[in-house]
Amino acid sequence: MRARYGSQAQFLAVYVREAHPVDGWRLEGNDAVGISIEQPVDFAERLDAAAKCSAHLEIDMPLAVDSIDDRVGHAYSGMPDRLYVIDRDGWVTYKSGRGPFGFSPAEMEQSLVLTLMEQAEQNVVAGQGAIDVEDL
Amino acid sequence: MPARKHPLAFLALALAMFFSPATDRRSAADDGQDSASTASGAGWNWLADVRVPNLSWRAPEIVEMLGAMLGGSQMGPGGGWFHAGQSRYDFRWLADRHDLNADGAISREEFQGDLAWFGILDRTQDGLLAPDDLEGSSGSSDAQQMQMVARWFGPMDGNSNGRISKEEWAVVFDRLSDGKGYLSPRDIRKLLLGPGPGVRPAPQPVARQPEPAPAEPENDGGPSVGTLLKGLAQGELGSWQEGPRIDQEAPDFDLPLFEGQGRIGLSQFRGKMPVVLIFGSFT
Repeated sequence: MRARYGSQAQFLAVYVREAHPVDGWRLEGNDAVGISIEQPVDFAERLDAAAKCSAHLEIDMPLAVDSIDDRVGHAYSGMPDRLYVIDRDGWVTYKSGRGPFGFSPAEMEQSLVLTLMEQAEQNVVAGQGAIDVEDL
Repeated sequence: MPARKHPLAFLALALAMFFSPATDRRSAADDGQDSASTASGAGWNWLADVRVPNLSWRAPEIVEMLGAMLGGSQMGPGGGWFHAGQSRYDFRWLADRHDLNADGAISREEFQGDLAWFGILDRTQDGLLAPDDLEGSSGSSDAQQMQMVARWFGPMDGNSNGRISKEEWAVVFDRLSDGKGYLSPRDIRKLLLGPGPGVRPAPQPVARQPEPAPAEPENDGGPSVGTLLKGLAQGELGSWQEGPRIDQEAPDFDLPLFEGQGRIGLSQFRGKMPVVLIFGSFT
C-alpha cells in the first residue's frame, strides 16, 4: 500500500509495548515459530525487539520506537495495534478500532484517499485565492 | 504507575480521559466556515449540521474491554469485541462533491478525482460509489472477513511472518490433499471452515456445577481473566487512554528511529502531507 502513495503520504510505524510477551498473555502461535519476547524493561530491550520485528516482517517504512514509559503509545491509545490517518494540518481524519480486530488497512486506505482528495480541494481553493489577490 | 495499584483510580482515569477537553478542529476553524452559524436566526436548525465528536456517548473502549474480559471473553475472533474505524469523511461528504445528478450514487463519469482512487473507494467493486462502499459496513464487514481469513492464514503461515510463501502453500496442499495429488471441494471446505489451531471460540454460557474446589475459569485453556486484566492494566492489551478522536489535534511526538538514523516527529510533515501512523509490536 505504501508504494501506491509514494511521496503523497508519509507512512510511519511506531513500535509500542509488546502485546503478547512470554511473561504476559503468551501465545502458542508465537512460541511455535520461536518468537519469545519478554516485555522489555528498558529502551534498549525494546529497540532490540523492534529490530527483530523489522527483520522478520521485512518492514520497509520508518520504524520509530516509543519510550519505555509508552508515552506516545498511550497518547494515541496505540496498544496493541491501531491505525491513524492525520492530515497535513495535524488533525485526525481516521482512527481505526483497537487491534487486532478493529485494525483494517483497507478501511484506513479509503480515509487516506479521502484525505488526499480534501487536500487537493484545498490546494485548488488556495490557488484560486492567490489568483484573486494578484488581480487586485 | 499508580493505575496498577489502585483500581478505582484506574477507572477514574479512564473516565477523565473520556471527558477531557482536547483541541478540536471545529473550535479552531473560523466561525464563518462553520455551518453552525446562527446569523440566519433559524433557531436550533443548525444543530443538525454540527458534528461534535467529543460528545459521543459511546462508552470508553477501556470500559468495553474490561466488560468483555470480565464477561469471560477470550478476546479472540468472534469472542472479543472490536469497533469499525471512524473517519472524518462519510458518503455525504463524497456525494456533496461528486454526485452531480444527485441520484445517491457516484459513477466514474461523475467522479472528479484520480480514477485510481475511485477503485480504492469502490469497496463493492460495482463501478459506483454508494454508501455501502464506505460507511460502517465497510469497516465491520472487512474486519469480519479478515477474522475469517485469520482463522486459516495463521496455521498456514509456517514462520508467522504474515506471508504465505510458495513452500508454505505446498505444505498446505500436501496436508489437505492427503496423498491424492489434488484437492476436492471437501478438502477446500476443511481449509475454509475447519477451526484453526490456537483460535478459541467464545465460551458458551455453562450452568455452574457445584464444586468444592475453587474452579479454574472456564476458558478452554486460553488466557485467564487474571492474565487479561493484568495485560490491560499494564497497557499491553490496550491503553486506558482513548487517544485523539476524529478532528482532534494529533499529539506531536519526537521519537528515535530504530535504524539509529536520527529521530522522527509529526511536526516534520505539518503543511506537507498526510501521515499514516501504524502502532504495533512484534508479538
